Amino acid sequence: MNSTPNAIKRDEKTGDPLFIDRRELRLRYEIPVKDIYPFFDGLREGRVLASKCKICLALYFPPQGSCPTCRKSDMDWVELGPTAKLLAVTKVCIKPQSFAEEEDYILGVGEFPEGVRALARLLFEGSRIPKIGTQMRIAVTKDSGENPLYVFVPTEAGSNEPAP
Amino acid sequence: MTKVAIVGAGISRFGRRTDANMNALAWESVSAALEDAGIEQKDIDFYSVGNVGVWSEESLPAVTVGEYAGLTPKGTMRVEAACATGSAAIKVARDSIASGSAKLAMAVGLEKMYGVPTPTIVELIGRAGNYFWEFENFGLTFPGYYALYASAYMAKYEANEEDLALVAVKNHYYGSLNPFAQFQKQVSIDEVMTSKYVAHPLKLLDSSPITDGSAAVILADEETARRLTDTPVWIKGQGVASGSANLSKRSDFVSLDASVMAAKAAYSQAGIKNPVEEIDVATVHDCFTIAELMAYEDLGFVGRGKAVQLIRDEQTYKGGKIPVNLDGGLKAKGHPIGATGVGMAVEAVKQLRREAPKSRQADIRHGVALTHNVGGTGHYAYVTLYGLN
Ligand SMILES: [Zn+2]
Repeated sequence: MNSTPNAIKRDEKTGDPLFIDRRELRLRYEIPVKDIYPFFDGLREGRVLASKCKICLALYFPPQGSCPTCRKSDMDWVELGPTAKLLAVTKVCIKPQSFAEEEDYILGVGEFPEGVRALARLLFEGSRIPKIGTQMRIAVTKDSGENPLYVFVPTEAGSNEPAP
Repeated sequence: MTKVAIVGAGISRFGRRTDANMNALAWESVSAALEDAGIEQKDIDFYSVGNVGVWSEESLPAVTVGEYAGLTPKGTMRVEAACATGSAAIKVARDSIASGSAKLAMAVGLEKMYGVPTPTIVELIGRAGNYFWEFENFGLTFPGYYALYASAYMAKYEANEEDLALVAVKNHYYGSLNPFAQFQKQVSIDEVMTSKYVAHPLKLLDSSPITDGSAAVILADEETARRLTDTPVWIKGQGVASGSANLSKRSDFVSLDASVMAAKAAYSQAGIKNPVEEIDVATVHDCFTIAELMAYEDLGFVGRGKAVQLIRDEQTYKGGKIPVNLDGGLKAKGHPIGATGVGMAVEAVKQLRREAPKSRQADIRHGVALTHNVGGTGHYAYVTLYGLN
């Protein structure tokens, strides 16, 4: 906390007087993950896991610890992929504050044969934006902080983009 | 349901408002609405304040606005439904009258977004979905959400970026005729096409701006409405729906299911069978150009994949089949998140009373106006039908 001798500044564009707040608020959340902990175990082993209700067999991704249909918390954990079809894609150019240091990045939604979908980064050569319908592979990599993170990459067979 | 009408409407100038703090900004529209209705603060039984906040100074805007505007000690609450917050504030006020607990209620929409730097706003709006899975891990942004939809829509229906640009050109044209709009200048297709990508394929001029602004409406039961005015604007129906927080839970990316469901409910309540034939003017949620195109289809103005042809044929201009966003829309009028839905209601009232400037006044034949207000990316949807009868 620091105190500014004169907290009032003139706006550069309008010239209106603005009181520059002397208080600053920083937020960092602690998010409980107990009910989906197997997901993080899987990620460390290089596998992306969805939760599956043992009663009605509904598959959940992102995973959740309870099934709202059966109202029970009895889950199996099953591996997704490896392939998924690209349903929607974007390249983020104007980035949030907390991603400001990164290069422009590509995000897409991939649909797995099991019917569930995931949003993740796409790592394709040359930061290319692949076409809708492209077959991709889900993989586990490390983020800049060495935490495991799931991403979509090209399938091993090479280009699986639909013909133009 | 008890009939509820809007009997007073007010709006502030939208834009970068370094001249007014949150409470003073709200007062601009609250005072205009009171003036318009010809009532005093003491006549109001209940007021709701739609505000998303965090980027602005006050945590309890309902009470700070109430104190400044002389509404204390009337009952109040702050309402949040992301970018549909304003419509949610209207729902709360309408329900308070319909339940019989209030005769006169006010809904205020307020947002002051320029209090923090732009990257902080991008950060906060980017969290408007599922925070952990889509923002914390991957940095999805709000333009990014709609860009995902644009990518799928363009691939499926062979639309191109120029088609999206046509929406911006139309809405900036009407913004140029609206003295309350943030952008009162026209843009060309070239200017839209050469503006920088925000989230591919959406560019800066495909996007609504960061905006400060407020709007207020006063709602009344039938007896009170008829006593106060000769031109009450009735709420004929309001459909509400929600969508999954995670975009990855959506099955396709060419339509907002919540909009479709909200529209269906609103049309059913208002007895609307053929929207294009029975609605005189619409304001739809064009936070990005792709959103306006999807709205044409989700609201049943045209069939699936036909929105592009509607804008190419200029059928959503004044004089067209269904005029859309004659106030400039979110795109040019501005998008003060919590105020947007109330601002749409103010526009519906002005259009139905034939009080809009002539250059952008729709031809009112059936006396019916529609507002379509989406929160997030189809996370919330509110479709409201207003009418003279
Ligand atoms: Zn189950």
